[in-house]
Amino acid sequence: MLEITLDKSKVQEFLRLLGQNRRLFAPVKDRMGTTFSEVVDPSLVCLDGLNTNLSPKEVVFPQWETLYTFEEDQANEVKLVAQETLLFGARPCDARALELLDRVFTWERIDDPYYLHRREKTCVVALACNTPGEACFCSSVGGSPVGEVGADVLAFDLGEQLYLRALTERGEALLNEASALTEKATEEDKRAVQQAAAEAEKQLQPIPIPKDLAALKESFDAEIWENLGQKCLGCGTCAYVCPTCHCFDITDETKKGVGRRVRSWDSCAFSLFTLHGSGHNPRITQAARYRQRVLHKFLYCPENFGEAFCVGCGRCITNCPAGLDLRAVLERLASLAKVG
Amino acid sequence: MVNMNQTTNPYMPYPVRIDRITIENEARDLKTFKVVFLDPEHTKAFHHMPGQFAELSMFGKGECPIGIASSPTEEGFLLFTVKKTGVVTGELHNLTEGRVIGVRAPLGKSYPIDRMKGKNVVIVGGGFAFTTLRALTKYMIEAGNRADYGEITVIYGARSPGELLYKEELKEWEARDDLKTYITVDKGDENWKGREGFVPAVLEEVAPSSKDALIAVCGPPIMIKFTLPVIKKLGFAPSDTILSLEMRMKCGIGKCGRCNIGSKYVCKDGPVFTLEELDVLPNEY
Repeated sequence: MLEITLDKSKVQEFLRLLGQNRRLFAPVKDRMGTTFSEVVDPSLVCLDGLNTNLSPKEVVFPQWETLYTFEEDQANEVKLVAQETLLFGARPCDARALELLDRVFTWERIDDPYYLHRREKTCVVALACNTPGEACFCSSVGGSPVGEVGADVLAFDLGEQLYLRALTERGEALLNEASALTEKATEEDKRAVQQAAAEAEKQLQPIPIPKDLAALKESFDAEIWENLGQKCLGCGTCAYVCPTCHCFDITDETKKGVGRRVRSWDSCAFSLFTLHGSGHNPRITQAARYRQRVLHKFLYCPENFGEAFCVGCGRCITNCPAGLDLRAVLERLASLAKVG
Repeated sequence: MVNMNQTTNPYMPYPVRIDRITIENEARDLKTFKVVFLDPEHTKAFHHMPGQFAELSMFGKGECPIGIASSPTEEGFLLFTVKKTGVVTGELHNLTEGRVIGVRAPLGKSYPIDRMKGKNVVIVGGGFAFTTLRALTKYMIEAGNRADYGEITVIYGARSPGELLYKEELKEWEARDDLKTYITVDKGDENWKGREGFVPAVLEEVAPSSKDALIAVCGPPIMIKFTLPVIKKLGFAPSDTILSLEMRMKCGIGKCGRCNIGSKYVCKDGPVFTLEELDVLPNEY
């Protein structure tokens, strides 16, 4: 596959060129750090920030979207037309999360047209992490700071230049579009990339992940949840910043008989999430709700999809207002498993 | 079982017209809606089996998951018996005949009809949860199907005579000699000449044999709680004990993450489960 380098002084021009006939999403500086935004002015793109505040999942799975509109009794389908989209500078954890989301939205051959129509048009250029962050633990959950899963192109920051390697045909076609601005990668470049990759991976200390699913099942009635549930505020922040959380609500918005049915991100941390019309609520305590979040990711998803739905981005750790650290929770669960 | 193929959008409801509304109880909070598809092509293409459910759609209010109370042998329409509970069902109860609503169906898995073939079947229902059991019974006693099953026993109870669903039909069932029907109420009134007593007690008294038999149960949690020990005592294996669950749902197709019990989603892996399947799931329903 194609391997090229791009002088950093040409990144803006590169993005401007590729953004001509597609929507461009990339990390942009904001008050809180960086966040994925639709880029109109490539000079605002910031590739130095590590993980963005919100993951780029909203490019394919927006926080809020119209499923269809209605007028009185009549439902009107929304035409699903997505523009070609370039997601530039997603970290490998976020790219891998998209691959996990793909599995949910095509699960058991029931395709979700809203997700897929965007996803199919999205080309992902992942940017490897030379220096993973303090809350990062991708390599402990099956990923890598230089991982390729979910990406069409993998890029490395080599200081003066970006190195870009096509991973798919779509990625190769994308890079070819901007060939006037790039150089073929030299053997020296490739060695530099190898070295950067090795160093990045060395920096991540492995953390214990509970992988014994039978033992995790046993943990359902463990005391640990009561204790964690008392700390959890049920604010749902972890779900909103999580690149793999995909639970959603469907609600109607209407004015004088005209309206739309919309779906929006939801969180299992919320007390109303499972409330029945009858008043019954199978997850009546915050402990049960916190347990659902952790076990969904580390037990139910491995049972259903063969992999945990956590890519180790650490956003839930850095953003939890109650200071709950998923790594510590996982460590406790792993030790429970050993004892049990 | 979901019959939505790649070319259709699984979130779009089919438009249906409310053809007839039957008020089922004295409190008038239980109504049966007979609906017909607006598009004859939909009628032709629609195939469900007893136990499956639908998302009923009231535009501007939302959707609610409701079991399909009609049998696939009743062609040309669908029945839904709905208790007035929240915003969506409340709106539905306000509607009159002739109005159009949306239906997304069939969703979920049905009762194990194929496994029931050649077996005796016991049906145990309580209150307004009898709807998909009605579909199952109706399906099995249909002229063309009846010979496929052994003895069929129906035990159905409600709080009071007025709360029994499908009263006219129950009378017909009681008159049939190829169906053993036991109707009971917790407490009768001055006109009630039938049986009094809770469903678990009646089941114990009727004591249907568990030999070559499956038992399907649906009812309020308190009834299930006291019925399961009786079922066990009668000797039904957990794999032959069939339950239908309720859960809050949104998408109905295993995406929105709302109705899971452990790794199973009630919408797509259920709502019908065997007790054997439920026994290995976390106790969270």
